[in-house]
Amino acid sequence: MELGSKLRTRVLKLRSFRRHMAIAVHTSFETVRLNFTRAVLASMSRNHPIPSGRTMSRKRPVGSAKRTRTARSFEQPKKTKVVLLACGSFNPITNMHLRMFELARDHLEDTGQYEVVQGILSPVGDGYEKKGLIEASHRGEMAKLAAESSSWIGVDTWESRQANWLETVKVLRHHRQELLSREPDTDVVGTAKAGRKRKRMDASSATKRRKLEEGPPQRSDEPRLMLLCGADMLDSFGVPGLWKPEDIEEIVSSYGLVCITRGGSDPEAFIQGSDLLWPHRHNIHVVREWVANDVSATHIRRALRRGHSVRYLLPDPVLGYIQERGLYTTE
Amino acid sequence: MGRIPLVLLACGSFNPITNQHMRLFELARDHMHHTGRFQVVGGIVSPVSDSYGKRGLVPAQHRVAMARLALHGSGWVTVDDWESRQPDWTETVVTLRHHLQKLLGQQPSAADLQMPHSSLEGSSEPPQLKLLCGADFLDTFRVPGLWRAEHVEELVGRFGLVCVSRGDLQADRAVHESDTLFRHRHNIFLVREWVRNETSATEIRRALRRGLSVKYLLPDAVIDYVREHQLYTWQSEQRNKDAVLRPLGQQGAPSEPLNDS
Repeated sequence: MELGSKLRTRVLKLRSFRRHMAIAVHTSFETVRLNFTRAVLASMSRNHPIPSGRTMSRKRPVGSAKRTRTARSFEQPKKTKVVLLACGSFNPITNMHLRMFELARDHLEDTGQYEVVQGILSPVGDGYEKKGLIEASHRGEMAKLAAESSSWIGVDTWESRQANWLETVKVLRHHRQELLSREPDTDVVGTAKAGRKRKRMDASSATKRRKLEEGPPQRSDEPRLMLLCGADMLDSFGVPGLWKPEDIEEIVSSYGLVCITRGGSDPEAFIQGSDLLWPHRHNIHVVREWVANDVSATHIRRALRRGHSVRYLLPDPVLGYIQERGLYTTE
Repeated sequence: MGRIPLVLLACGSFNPITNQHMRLFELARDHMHHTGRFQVVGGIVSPVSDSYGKRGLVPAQHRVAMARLALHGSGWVTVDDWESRQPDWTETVVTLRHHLQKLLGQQPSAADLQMPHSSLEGSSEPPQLKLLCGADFLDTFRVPGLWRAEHVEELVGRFGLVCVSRGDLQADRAVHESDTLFRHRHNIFLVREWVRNETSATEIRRALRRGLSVKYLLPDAVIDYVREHQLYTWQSEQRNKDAVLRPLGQQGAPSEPLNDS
């Protein structure tokens, strides 16, 4: 279910409690979770703003709440806003890729410490030169079609438009800059797609370089950018020569990892055994996918080559795009 | 070309229908087509009736509605609510007979029941109806007293099975270990799904109870429906908690478990 742009603007102007209610009413089911229930309960309570699950045990004297039930009286512990970035071939994008975002968001929000406000798909550029990698323009378009039905996941083609392949850490740095250059009081939900249109093109390259050297200034409401990946990426940290140690260090210290496991890998053990990763273990979130789901883009490409159906493994609009252009029919 | 027109029928709870259910049809169609002998002309989703008594089963009207939403853009798979509207639980073979009768557009006669392929006037091949199922369904034949021998015979002899399983050999073993199945092995088509995709309706209900996302595991329209009607809560999972599965409760009648996941 996609929000109309006018409706989205109205929704974004609401704050905290009322924002939760409005979003709960207007967006699709996957965003209606504990927040909605709490909001409903809060509207039913007369004196007690309903705290989050974490603070339920905190006792409040009955008569203390002279406050009206306004947005500002709705107390919740301050949560860190998170933006999830996934880098990959997306060759093509699949339901599994999109599931990763959903799993990551559920996991982070379940801790009570985070609010995931945006998801970014960043397809790799053609300079990556992987066998069977079709043009970035197609991969970006398919990702956009796939993300259309999502209220919070969008596509950024900056990486795919670079001439040469970029290290992951550089992509992270770029997107962090993008987040910083946004208006500080803008609610991020839903602006992921609109925001890129308002991207500031006027920052000089010198300013940008200085900002990078100094390190981005920490705003209190700055969303934390975290890298979303599969366990295989985490495992790849152990491959000699594949990653620069300083890059790994930067990723897990300045950013953070959200790592979705497939069966057969043990990320916790890997972190435990790595002197580089272990100090930053609290910044590496391992999301266990309990249900095995091995459907990969590789499998889909193979099926397409053989003329087999891949319906329901990826969104219908993506499948339509592939069929119309006859993509992935040959090696 | 001489290809036999084929319709695939899947019986199950569809509680709710998922992308995985719809994948079964896609895989089966590809496989049967690639044998060179069949032309898959249709697929039927037949949700079980409420009297089946399975735990957590939400009313059939919802399960049928969700299946229709999911298959809206399918182009070849439809939903049939005949089984769900029957007053009592219907044996699989009875459902198959009903749908074959509809397909053939003729009254079933004793002669039809004897002959696996009734010949119609005209040169075109008569359409066939086969049951679409998963590998665990085959294992149920081995449980003593669970199936009437003549039902198994009719199911695999007269109709046939299209059985989708993972790359393991569970289905092959089940055919090997049953004389009835072995005798009709040419009417049992084993379709391999090499990649694991275990996102079942059970998992999805669990996720929904816990307020977790199920997006991309089933169509958005079904998720919206679930939300609008507030299906699949902790309460709904308690439904039929102490009930006995209808097939097991029938006095003096053999029982059969349902083919679903």
